[in-house]
Amino acid sequence: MARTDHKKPDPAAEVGSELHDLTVTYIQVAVVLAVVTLLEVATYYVALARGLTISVLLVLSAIKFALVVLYFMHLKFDNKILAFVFSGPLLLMIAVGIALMALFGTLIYPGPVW
Amino acid sequence: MAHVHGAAEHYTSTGIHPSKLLMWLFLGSDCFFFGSLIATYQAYRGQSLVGPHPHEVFNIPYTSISAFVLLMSSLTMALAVNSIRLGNMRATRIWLLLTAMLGSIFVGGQVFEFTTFVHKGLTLEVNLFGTTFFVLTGFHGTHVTVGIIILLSLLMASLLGRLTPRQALTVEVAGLYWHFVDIVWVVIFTVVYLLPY
Repeated sequence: MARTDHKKPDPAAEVGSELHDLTVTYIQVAVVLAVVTLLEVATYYVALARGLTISVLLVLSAIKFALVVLYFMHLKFDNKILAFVFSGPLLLMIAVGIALMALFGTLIYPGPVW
Repeated sequence: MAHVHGAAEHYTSTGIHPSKLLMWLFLGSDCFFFGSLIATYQAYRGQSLVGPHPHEVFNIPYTSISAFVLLMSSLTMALAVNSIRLGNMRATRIWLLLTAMLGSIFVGGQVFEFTTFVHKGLTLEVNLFGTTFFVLTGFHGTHVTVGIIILLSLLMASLLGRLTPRQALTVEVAGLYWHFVDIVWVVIFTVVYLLPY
């Protein structure tokens, strides 16, 4: 049985000038993403302590991930249920990944065997 | 498209359109799919007893450009969604085409990279690095290819007059998939290519 309700948005009503043009916002986000990517690549060529390099890269990667999800995928402005639907599996998978790496002894990376 | 048009008029009690909710649920499940592959790559990181090893085959400047191209395709996809929501079909078609082109450049780059790696002796079965690397990045490339097909289908539907601003949600849902493929590469690029071995 299809559940329809009084909160139904009208797609036709969403088309038109009353909507905000997000072009400038998207370009601003893209510029930040490009700069962050440049910083990421720079860490490959700059001699930093291994732990510091890993920390910086994980933070920069998380920033890019969050910017795309929040702005390009509209999760910042969309229904909070969607944020739950996505972040639940994401966080669970991160936990599973950490557990798997711990089981294989690579969470605290021992270095390559070669 | 008549089916899509009809579906656009039925919302769940949450106020979320079913196709959008289903796409987010799919993306949640895809987190597990790629998360498993990334975790497996990490579990076997640096454990290959024979070469070629990552530092012997990776070309970071080349992959950085590929990563940048895919990242910018997310911008063009967002602009396509923005355009159709504003009712500008001409701009929508241009952005969809540009997104598909950038995606194709990425996939082409990946095919070239794979070919180079094979010539250097890295194959699916030669060592743990080859197995985990090709499975992870290969499945990602497959996702990008599927995304390109979806984008070109939308472009074709638009040219045939079957995609109008009333179906903006269809483009938005396709965009969600495309952006997800992009953020997966954000993680792969960092974990596989940039993290020191």
